[in-house]
Amino acid sequence: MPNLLLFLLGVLLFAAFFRYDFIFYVLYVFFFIYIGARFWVRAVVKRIQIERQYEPRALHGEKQVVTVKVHNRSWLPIPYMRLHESAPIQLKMPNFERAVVSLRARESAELSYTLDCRQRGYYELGPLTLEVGDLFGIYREERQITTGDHIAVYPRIVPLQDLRLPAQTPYGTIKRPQSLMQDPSRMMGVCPYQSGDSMRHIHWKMTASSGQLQVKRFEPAISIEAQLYLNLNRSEYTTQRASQASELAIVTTASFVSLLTAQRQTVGFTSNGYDPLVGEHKAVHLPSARGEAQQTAILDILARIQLTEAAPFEELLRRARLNLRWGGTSVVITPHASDALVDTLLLLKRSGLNVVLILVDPQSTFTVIVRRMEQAGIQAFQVWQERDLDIWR
Amino acid sequence: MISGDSPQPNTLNLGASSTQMIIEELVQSLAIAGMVTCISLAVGFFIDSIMSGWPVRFMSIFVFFIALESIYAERLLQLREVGQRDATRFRIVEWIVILLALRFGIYFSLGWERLLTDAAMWNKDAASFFSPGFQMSALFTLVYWWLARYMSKSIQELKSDRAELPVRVTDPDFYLRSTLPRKGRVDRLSRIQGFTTVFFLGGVLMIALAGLSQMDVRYLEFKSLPSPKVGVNILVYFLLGLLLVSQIHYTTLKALWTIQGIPITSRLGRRWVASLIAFLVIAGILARLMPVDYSVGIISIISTVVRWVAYAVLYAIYLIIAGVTYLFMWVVSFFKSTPTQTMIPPTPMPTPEPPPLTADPTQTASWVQIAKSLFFWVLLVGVGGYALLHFLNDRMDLFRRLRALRLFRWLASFLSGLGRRTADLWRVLQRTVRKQADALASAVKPKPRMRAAKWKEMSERERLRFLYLALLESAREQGIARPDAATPFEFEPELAAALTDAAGPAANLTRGFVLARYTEHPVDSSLVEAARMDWSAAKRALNARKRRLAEQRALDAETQKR
Repeated sequence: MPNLLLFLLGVLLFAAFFRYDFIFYVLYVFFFIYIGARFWVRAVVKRIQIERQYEPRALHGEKQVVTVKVHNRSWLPIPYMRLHESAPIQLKMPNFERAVVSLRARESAELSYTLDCRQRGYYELGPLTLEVGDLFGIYREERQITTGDHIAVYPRIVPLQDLRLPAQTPYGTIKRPQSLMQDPSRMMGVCPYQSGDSMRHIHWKMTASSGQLQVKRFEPAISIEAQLYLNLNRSEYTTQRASQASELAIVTTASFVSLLTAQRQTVGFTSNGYDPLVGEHKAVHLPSARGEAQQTAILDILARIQLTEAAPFEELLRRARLNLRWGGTSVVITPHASDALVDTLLLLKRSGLNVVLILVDPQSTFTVIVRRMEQAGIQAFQVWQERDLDIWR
Repeated sequence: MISGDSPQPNTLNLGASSTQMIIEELVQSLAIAGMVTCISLAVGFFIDSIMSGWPVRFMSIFVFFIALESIYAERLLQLREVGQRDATRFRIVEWIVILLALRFGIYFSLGWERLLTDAAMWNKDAASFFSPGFQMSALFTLVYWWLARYMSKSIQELKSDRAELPVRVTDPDFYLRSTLPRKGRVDRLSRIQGFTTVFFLGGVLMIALAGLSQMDVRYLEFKSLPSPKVGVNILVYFLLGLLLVSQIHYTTLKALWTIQGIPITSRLGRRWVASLIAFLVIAGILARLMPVDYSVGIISIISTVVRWVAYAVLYAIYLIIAGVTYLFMWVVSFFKSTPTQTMIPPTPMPTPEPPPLTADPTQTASWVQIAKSLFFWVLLVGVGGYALLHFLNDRMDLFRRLRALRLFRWLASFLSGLGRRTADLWRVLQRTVRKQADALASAVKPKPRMRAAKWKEMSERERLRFLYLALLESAREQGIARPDAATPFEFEPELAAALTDAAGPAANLTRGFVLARYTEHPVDSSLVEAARMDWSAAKRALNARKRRLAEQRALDAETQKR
């Protein structure tokens, strides 16, 4: 209400001059409206609370419904409240949701919208901007509420069936020729008892039925860790393919993690990328573990991680190899194989680790690299596009 | 999507229902008309305090309707999107009707006699039709009319226009609408500012006029304590104004949200009204609880200072008003036949002498007066009739809508039912009265039957009866009345004795009557012809008897004189 104060001044002068009751009433009414409008708006804005209801993790391609619940904790009603909820532009177009609501005292309203999770990332939801005003246009107040709500959209996971790695590569609890260890849960058959066989492995039922001592034969197995190393050093990617190649590297990593978890293998993750929760210039390292929780933890990181100007990848590899036990498998996913990287991989190999190299943005002829890696006993693969992952399907 | 805590989720409703819109429009129009009426009341009280006799009540009622008319006419023009020429015609017609309504409507308060007196004056001097009081009233009416129109127009322009709404590229009108010159250029802030400025200025003016109307301007003193009703119209004005300001704010916000495509909960409108009423009630109660009588020194000082400043300003205003009035009167004197006539409102004008019934030979010839009067009234009736016709024609939709309203339908059916009942009652009353009258008449004197019937329309039987009855009537006039209990044959000797010259024809007529009245014997024309000749003979005999008796009476009288 423009010119209200000027009007109040005029009425005050007339009231002082004429001393009529009704002029004072008019003056008081307008005064209370002026003061009351401000008090009202300020009082209710302070006491508004919001709560977002959503799933904090989403698979690639999923649609997630986000519900923003706005509570009026005040004992005063809100005549109108304009809500403007910001949303990540990668997940929603347009990147906001708006509504106008009216709330009674202690009432709440909900604002819902759907996110189309079509791009990997770690996104902030909100902030929610709300505007509350009075009934006469005297006063209005805006408040921005940031709750720190985030949603992690996992990278696309390509369903892989078989890693088709060399047989001597011991991925977790799998059969291996050298029976260093046996898995008592995987009985292969029975055979006659020989001297030195463990008495614990005698198959008593078969012994009774055959009349000779029979012992159980188990599949040879060994539990060996697999560690995935992801290079997200921006300077090592070509400018043209940096975005596409890094995403491809992440998709490859996620697909490997998914498969290994499905096969109940131990898997760890190390990267030099930027994780917003960890901070700048800090490597991300997740020790080997198995199970759904480990998979979720790795996928969470993969949802958040980004290209960054990091320290050379070789240094990270050198340090990380110390965390891996002998016989473990190192899957290195990197844009290209520089001489320094090859030297480091050889070091890993010599340390008793099995090494697999996956290149997503090779800057020299891949066949040359493959030949060089074969000489060192390292398998190398090129993933130029997502379709190249089909070799493991 | 938005929803509330209630079991039924909020539904989005971008457009209000037609009923809600009609109510909004109606309430809005009534509020504006009420505000303008309140201003007119304050102005009226003030003028009345200076020049007593100003028709405050009539002007207030009139202004209320004029404000409604102004709002309706404005919306009608906007709706029809007429050209400049039609709009001008529309306005001319509207204003002729308004002026005529003002000129003649004032006699509701002045009375019928005053109208006749003034009409006589207009016959003498057509210019007196536009008396200063009328001119002043018309001027005020014009201001109120404009005020209502301005406020209504401001509110209307705040609403979202179709051209402002976002248009899809697939819309066939995309190019047209995206290149419209007015697209997105409605300056709502200036509209709101304009409205609130008018509201505040009107309020301050009312307060000032209400205060001044309670003062004796000669001595700059308060006449007495103000009566409680003085401030009522001002409080009503501010109440209506606040409601409208709030509604304007709501309309503006809603328009902006609609343009931006923001969904609005359907409850918003209802809750807005509820909150507004509650807020105003609380503010009103708090205001009522506040002290209005003060004796604090600083306030007194301010009051004194303000009072002195106001005295000075008041003197200046009165000097200006006096100057302007003098100038105005001087200009008006050029157009008046009687230069001594002063500009006063129509009520206090002295009742003029009625015009002489006979033409004064010293004055202009009577035919000139008649021609002037005739011309005046023809012009007045012609222009007024034409304007009224077009005025009603322009608002035919309104009447149709009014007729469609349930209240009006009920009223119409009630009135038509009442009319039918009244007509039935009238017919019943007529019949009853007629019956009673007939009964009374027949009691007083025997009604000659078939006298009124035409001879040509009678049958042969009726003619036979008629000739006998006509003879009886003639005989009765000469004092030979048939007793009620006597049959025709019983009366025949008496009749034959009276008509000594026509005893035979009288006997024939008696038999013929009995034949026609009491038997089914066929009656042919020969019988009627014979009866007619008998009737002529009997009539001649009766006339001869009458002459004879007259001569006898004259002779007797002469004898008595002698």
